[in-house]
Amino acid sequence: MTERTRTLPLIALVGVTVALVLIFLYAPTEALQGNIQRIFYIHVPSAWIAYLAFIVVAVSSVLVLARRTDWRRWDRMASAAAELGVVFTTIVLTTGPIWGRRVWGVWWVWDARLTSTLVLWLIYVGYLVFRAMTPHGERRARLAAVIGVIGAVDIPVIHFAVIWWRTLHPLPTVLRPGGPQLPGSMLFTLMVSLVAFTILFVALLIIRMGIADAADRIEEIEAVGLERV
Amino acid sequence: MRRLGWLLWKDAITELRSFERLSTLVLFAVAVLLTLHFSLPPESTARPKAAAGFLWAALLFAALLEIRRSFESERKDGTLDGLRASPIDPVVLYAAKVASSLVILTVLAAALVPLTALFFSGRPAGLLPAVGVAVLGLLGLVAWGTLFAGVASGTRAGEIVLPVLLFPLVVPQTIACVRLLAYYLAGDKLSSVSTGFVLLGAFDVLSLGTSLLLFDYVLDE
Repeated sequence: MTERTRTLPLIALVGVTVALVLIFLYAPTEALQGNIQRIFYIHVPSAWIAYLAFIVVAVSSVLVLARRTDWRRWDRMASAAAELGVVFTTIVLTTGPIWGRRVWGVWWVWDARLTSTLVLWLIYVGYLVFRAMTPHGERRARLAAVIGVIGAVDIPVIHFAVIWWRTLHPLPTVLRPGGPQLPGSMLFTLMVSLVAFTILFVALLIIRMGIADAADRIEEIEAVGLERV
Repeated sequence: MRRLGWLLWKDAITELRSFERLSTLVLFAVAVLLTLHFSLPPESTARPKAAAGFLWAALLFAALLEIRRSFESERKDGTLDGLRASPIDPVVLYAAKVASSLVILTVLAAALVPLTALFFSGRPAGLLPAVGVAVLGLLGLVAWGTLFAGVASGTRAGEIVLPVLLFPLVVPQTIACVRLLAYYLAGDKLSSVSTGFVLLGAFDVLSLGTSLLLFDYVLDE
């Protein structure tokens, strides 16, 4: 990597390290839940970054459909963001049950937020599966963009529907993750963690897009090379 | 409009020549209901409550087959290329596919609702509203299903990619439909029937609207 492209990943590394130090050494131990509550500082920012990633997918998908001459770049962005979105959603879906097992006593409940997150995960994994199984090119970019747009548009509807379904059979009240109000030190730790995750996301997005660009160029060279032979 | 009518007529003729498609779908749906029936213990009191879910599952799988077939039969015979090359507006082509699939599936629903009531529930409260609910649900499903059938048709293992893409997206449809079907089929208490219909209706509008806008992009080769 060049000097310039190393800056952001380095900042991300520093950010994540600082966040981890705060999470384990600075943030106070939660009174009721104990140390397992520290998973909150990973779980919540991951969820926010996952949503950010899927917004990026939606916007870049619209740009692909707009038939711009630089559609390739937006297609690479959509694909990279979807991958990162799936990674962070997976983090949410694994840290959640680990936490839940200790705090609620069960690995999984079908409450509104968990259900919606699982559906979200499935939608974007489906997006990646489609991309993996379709020949590269303009058609794949266009069709993936259709999926990306529809997925994004459907998310609020799914969320509402699941909440409505949930209200028909209310669960016993569940411990609120951060407690009724977050004390200052916890809020600070959460914010630092969120900023660190955001920088990490952007750094990874740029790196991933760079890899996709390089792969495309190799493919082009190979194609031309074959013709020459 | 006349072209839409012509396309529908084309599909109707193909179907009438052999009732094959409809009768196979009914048999398939019955086979699914039968299999699901065994998921519950023999004298389970959950049976009437589960009826709505089983019915929707059977309709969902049958719709999947129908939507896929609607694209594939034309692709196989090269009709799809012919249609693409013709001056027919992609929106009209899309509407024709949705309409013809929906007609078949409405007949299927009309057959399946009484069967489900027979197999599973004790006292069906409203068979006709249940068919209406099923059709409303199928409309949204077929709208996006047809769009995604187009998306998945150029893909390896397209028949798997279609449900993988479609099922999570139609979760609102599934939720609203099953709750309403449970109300009409088994007298399940439902605090807000109107919310269920609003959700179904809104979803259908969203599904049809986005599909009409985006089908253009799907059909380009």
